[in-house]
Amino acid sequence: MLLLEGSLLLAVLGHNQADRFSSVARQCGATGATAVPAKGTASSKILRLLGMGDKSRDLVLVLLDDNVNADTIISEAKADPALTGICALLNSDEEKNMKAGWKMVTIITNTGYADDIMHAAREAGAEGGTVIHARGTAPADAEHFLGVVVVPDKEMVMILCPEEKEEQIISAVNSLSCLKEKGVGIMYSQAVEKFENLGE
Amino acid sequence: MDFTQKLKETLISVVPIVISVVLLNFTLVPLDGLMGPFLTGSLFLVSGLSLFLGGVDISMVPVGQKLGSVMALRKSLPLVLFLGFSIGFSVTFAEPDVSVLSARISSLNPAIDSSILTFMIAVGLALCIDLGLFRALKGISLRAVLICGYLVVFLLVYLTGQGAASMAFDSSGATTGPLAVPFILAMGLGVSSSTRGAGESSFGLTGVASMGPVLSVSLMVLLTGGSSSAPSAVASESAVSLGSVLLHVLKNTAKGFAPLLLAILVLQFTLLKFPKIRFKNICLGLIYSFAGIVLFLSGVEYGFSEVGVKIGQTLSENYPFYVLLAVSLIFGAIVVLAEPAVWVLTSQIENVSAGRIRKKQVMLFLCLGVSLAVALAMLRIHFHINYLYFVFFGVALALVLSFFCPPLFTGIAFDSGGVASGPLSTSFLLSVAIGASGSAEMSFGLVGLIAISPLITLQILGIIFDRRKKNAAS
Repeated sequence: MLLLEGSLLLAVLGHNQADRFSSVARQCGATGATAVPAKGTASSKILRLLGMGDKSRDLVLVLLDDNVNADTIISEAKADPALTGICALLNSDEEKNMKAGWKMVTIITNTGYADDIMHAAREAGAEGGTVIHARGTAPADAEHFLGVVVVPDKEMVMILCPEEKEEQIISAVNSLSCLKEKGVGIMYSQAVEKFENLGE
Repeated sequence: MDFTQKLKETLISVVPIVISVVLLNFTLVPLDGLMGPFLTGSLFLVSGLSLFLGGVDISMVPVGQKLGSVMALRKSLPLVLFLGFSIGFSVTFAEPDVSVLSARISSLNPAIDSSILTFMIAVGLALCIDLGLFRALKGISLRAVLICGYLVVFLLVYLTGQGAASMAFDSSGATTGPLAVPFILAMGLGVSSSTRGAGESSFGLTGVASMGPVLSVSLMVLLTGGSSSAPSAVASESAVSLGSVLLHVLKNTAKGFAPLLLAILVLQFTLLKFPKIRFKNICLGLIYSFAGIVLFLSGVEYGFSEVGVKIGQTLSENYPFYVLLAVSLIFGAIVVLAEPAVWVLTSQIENVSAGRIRKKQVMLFLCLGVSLAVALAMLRIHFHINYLYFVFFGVALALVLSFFCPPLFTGIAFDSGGVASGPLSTSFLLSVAIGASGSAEMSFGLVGLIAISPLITLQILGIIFDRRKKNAAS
């Protein structure tokens, strides 16, 4: 187990771009990267209306210590024409995060709610979001069925937004009628040190 | 749903078929008047397949997964078994391919009543879905279930002879229609991800389900006396207009789609309760997948079947056997790329393995397998080899391999058996075989071989994968 004090670089990229981004990060001194399959939502309103908004995305997480400069990774990734998407940096030093003016809102719910959450968030001013399919973990006293622990499937929605829109988005998601039931999910937001677009 | 990405993927999968048929047209098999319908059909294939795949992504997959998850969370075994049985039964009973197959079998063997056979196939599949769900919930090893199941199959098939064996294995390919397979795949995924996390038992439900029809057909033949396999005439359809093909396919597909649609609607208001926007997207997705599969099937029926017969006939009559063999090797490899359910399965594999197992690798080994299967089927037609040998050695080898292969890949392999034998291979490849053999009776069994071969090649991929991983770790 490698314990790092530093920052977390988070990139949402086009389908199958994870390996390329990871190798860029490694060349710049990062020790490794973790890739997660995800779904992104397109910005075209017509496509969304037709239900064609989702695109496959690769989410990559890179842990950086103080010896690695996140800026070089980001600028290298920006220079690579094969990489498209967004990049965000979360610093363990909260003060640095606060200055940039960007926030990341994360919502974790049982499966099936992501489309409605994204719809509400967009109405409140969000540009886009990334959805990850996940599952809950079982507590020690979890429910059993046929001798097996049963846990619900989850969807995790991540939305990067400017600071001033954070409140609106949170309250819009929170007022969704489908999320009124108790125990349906959780939501949190955190500050982001840096936010950059890759490609295009 | 990313339509442009789907379009790109489908183009990659259909273009090789078009190129090779066009090449054949200018070299070995002049197609004359068939070329126009073939090219039109290919356009239908590309547009239909991408629409279908995009639609499945936002309808069948999320609904099936959520259903599996909800079934596990309700923690009621009777509910799970009831839902599994009713969904399995209704989608099979309504599947047009099944009634076609039953009619064909009963025409070969008058002792079998075709409507009873359809009923039996549906019950067989539904019971096996229950078995597969129970296995996924309990975490019983897939290998054990498959070995037991196939031992019974072997016994029945041995008692009934090769005529029945080829029918039985063909039926397992035909029964699971392209709309039902993605749903069953997703349901299995949902159940297992809620109970033991995505992984070992994520796949295998389709594989266990495909044993059902094999069991019921061979049981049926056994009970009604041996098969009197009289060769029937090749049904030769004269040139039909695109409009009438579309209408015919639309009617058939709607019949197969209706019970699934009804089940999804009933489930939405009772168990699933998707919120507004998601439900809207699911409805759109259902429309897309329906429209897409209608376009796809029409394209196949209008442009591909006759071309297949013509190619098979010309090659076997005018050229030495090895030419036909070479062409079948190539066709086998490229046709599987354009099977609708194959793309659904491979993207699910990519998701479950978090991108570790790539679509390309799975596709490559599927191509190898199907290519081999088609070539073997041609060898069998040419040399009149007993079909039972293929079944016994093929399935036995697959079961032996499961001892050396990671369980995840065993599940994937047995699922892809049912997936690889989709509408394109049952019409286009089967037509080539019918053309080559001159009789429908000898070409029976081709679809079954296509369903068996991936069991072997994908498990070999699994063994290679495991080796690599171990080497990388040490």
